[in-house]
Amino acid sequence: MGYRLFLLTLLLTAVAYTISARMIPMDPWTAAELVNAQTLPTVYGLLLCAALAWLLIRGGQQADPPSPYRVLRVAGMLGLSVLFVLLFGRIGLWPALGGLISLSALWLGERRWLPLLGLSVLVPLTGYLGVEVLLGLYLPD
Amino acid sequence: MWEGISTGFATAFTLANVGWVLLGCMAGTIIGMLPGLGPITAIALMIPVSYSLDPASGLIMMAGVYYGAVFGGSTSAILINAPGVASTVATSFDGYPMAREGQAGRALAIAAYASFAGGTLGALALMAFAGYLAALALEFQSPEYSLLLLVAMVSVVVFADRGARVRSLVTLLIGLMLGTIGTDQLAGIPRFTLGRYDLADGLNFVLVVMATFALAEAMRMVLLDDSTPPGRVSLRELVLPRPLVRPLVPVVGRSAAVGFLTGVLPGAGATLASFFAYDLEKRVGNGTRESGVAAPEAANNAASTGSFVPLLTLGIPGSGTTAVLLGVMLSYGLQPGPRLLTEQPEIFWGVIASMYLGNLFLLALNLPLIPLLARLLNLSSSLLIPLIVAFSLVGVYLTTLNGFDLYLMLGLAVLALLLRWFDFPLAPLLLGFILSGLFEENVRRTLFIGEAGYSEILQRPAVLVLLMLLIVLCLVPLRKQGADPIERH
Repeated sequence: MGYRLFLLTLLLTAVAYTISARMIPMDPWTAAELVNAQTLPTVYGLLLCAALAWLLIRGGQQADPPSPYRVLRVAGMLGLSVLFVLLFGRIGLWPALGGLISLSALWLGERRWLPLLGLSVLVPLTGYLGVEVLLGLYLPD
Repeated sequence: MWEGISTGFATAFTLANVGWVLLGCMAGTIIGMLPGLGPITAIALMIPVSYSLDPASGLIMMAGVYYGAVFGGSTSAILINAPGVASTVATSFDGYPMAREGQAGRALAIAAYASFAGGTLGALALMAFAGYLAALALEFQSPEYSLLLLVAMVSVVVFADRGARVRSLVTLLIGLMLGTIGTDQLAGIPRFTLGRYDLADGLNFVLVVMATFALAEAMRMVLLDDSTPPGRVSLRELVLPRPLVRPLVPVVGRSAAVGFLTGVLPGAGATLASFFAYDLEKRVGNGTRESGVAAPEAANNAASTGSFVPLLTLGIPGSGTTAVLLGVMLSYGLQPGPRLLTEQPEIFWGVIASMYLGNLFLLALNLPLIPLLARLLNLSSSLLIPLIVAFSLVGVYLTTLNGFDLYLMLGLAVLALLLRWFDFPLAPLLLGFILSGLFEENVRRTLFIGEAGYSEILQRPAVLVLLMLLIVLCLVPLRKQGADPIERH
C-alpha cells in the first residue's frame, strides 16, 4: 500500500468517524450540555481530518515497498493467527496454541524438529499448569 | 511520627510478615511477567490468600504483590516489546532497542536497580510527607486534571521533530479516538460500538498495547527479516560499571520525585508518571538509552508507592489497583483515612515499612533471573516470532476472555504495522488511548462546574500555572529545536 493511499484510507475513516460522532443518540438533557457525548469525538475527528489533509497536500517521503515474498510471510502469519482464533473454541486454548506455535515456526522456516516440538508442547503445557492449575483461572470454551 | 515509624518497623519485621512480603513479591513478579496479567489481576488472585491473614499481614503481602507485579511487567516490555502493564510502556521505548542490540541483560539490570531505588525513595517520601501530600492531592480537581492531561498530550506533539509533529498529532488523535469507543461514562450512551455488545466496555488496554507494540513488532520482524543478535549474560555483567552508574543516579532521583508526586494524584498513577519521567529525562538529561530505561522504571515504582498516599490517608483509591486494595481493606473492617493513622498505626506504618523490605526482596529475587530471561532472545527469529505472537494472543484472551477481541487485535496490529512502516510514531497513539477517557471525563466535569461561573475556576492557583505552561508549550513550535524522544517510537 502506497503512502498516499494509506493517508486517503485514514482520511476516509476519520470522515466516517466524525459523521458517526454527530449521529450519537442523546437524551435532551445530555444534548443540552456544553460538552456532551458528541463534542470531543467530533473535535478529534475534525482535527484528524485536517492533519491528514495537510499530510496529503504536503506529500512525503515514500517508504520502499517490501518484497511480495515478505508480505506473503506476514499474510501467512496473520492467517495462522486467524486460524488459531477460529479453532481454540473447538479444540481448546492450549492445543490450539501448540498448533499456532508449530505451524508459524514451520511457516517462518524452522526445520529443527526438537526445538519446534519442544516449544509447541512446553509453552502450552506451562500455560495450562500456570494459568489453570496454579492460579485456578477458569477459561470458558 | 517517629513512634509510628518504629511501630511500623516492629510490625513489618516480624518473621511471619517478612515471609508474607517475600511471598507477595514473588507472586506479584511472576504474575506480572505473564501476558495480560497486571497488578489488578495479581492482587485479585491473591485475595483468597489474604483472607486467611490478619489485616496487617494481609495488607503487607498485598502491597508486595502490587509492586512485584509492576516490577515483573517491565521484563516482557524489555525482552519482547510486550508491556502487559501500562506503566511499563515507556520502559519498552529504550529497553527493547537495548535488548535488540544485545544488551538485554544490562537493560534488565538497570530496570531492576532503578525500580529498587525508585521504590525505596518513594517509601521514604511516603513516610516523610504522606500527610502534607494528601492535603495537596485533594486540591487537584477536574480543572487541574484536564489541564495536566492536555499539557501531557500537547507536549508530545510540540516537542516532536519539526517534520514529525503532524504525524505525532495524527497518532495521538487515533489513540484518543480509539479511547472513545464504548459506553460514555457520564451519559451511559454507547458510542462507536456498531451495535456490538463486545465493544460496550470499550477497547481493552492490553489489547491495544499488545497489538500496537508486541504483535506489530513481530510482524515487522517478519517483514524485514530482522533478527536479534545473540548475547549471553553472566551474573558478573549485572554489576554495572561506575561510569555508567554515576550519570544514572540523578536520573533515578529526578524520576522518583516525578513518579512519587504523580502517583499521589488520584487518577494519574504510574502510567502517566513513567511517561512524564521518560519525557523529562530525554529533554533535560543526557538522553542515553540507559537513562531511558532507568527513568520510567524509577518513576513507576515510586508512583506505585505514592498511590498509597490518597489510599491510606484519605481512603481515596487513585487507581484501579488501589481500588481493589481498598476493597481488601474494607473487607477486613478497616476504614482507610485519617483515622487509620491514629487508631491503627501498626497497619498504616507497617505497610509503609514493609515497602523497604519488599523492594530489597524484589532486587534479590530478580537479579539472578536476568541471565536466564535474557537467553530468550537467543532463540532464532523463526522461533521467537511465533512465541511473541502466541504470547500476545493468549495475553489478550486471558484478559478479556473474548474471541472477538482477538480479531480486533489483529486488525489493530495491521494498522500499527502500516503506521510504523510509514514512519508514524506509535507512542502518542498509546498515550492518547490511555488518557482519552480520563481527559473527556475531566473536561466535561470542568465545563459542568464552569456553567456556574468560570471566574472561580480561573482563580485556582494550579489552574493558572498549568494554563501558563500550556501557552508556553503552544509557543514552542515557533522556534527550532531537536528531535522528540517519545515521537521516535
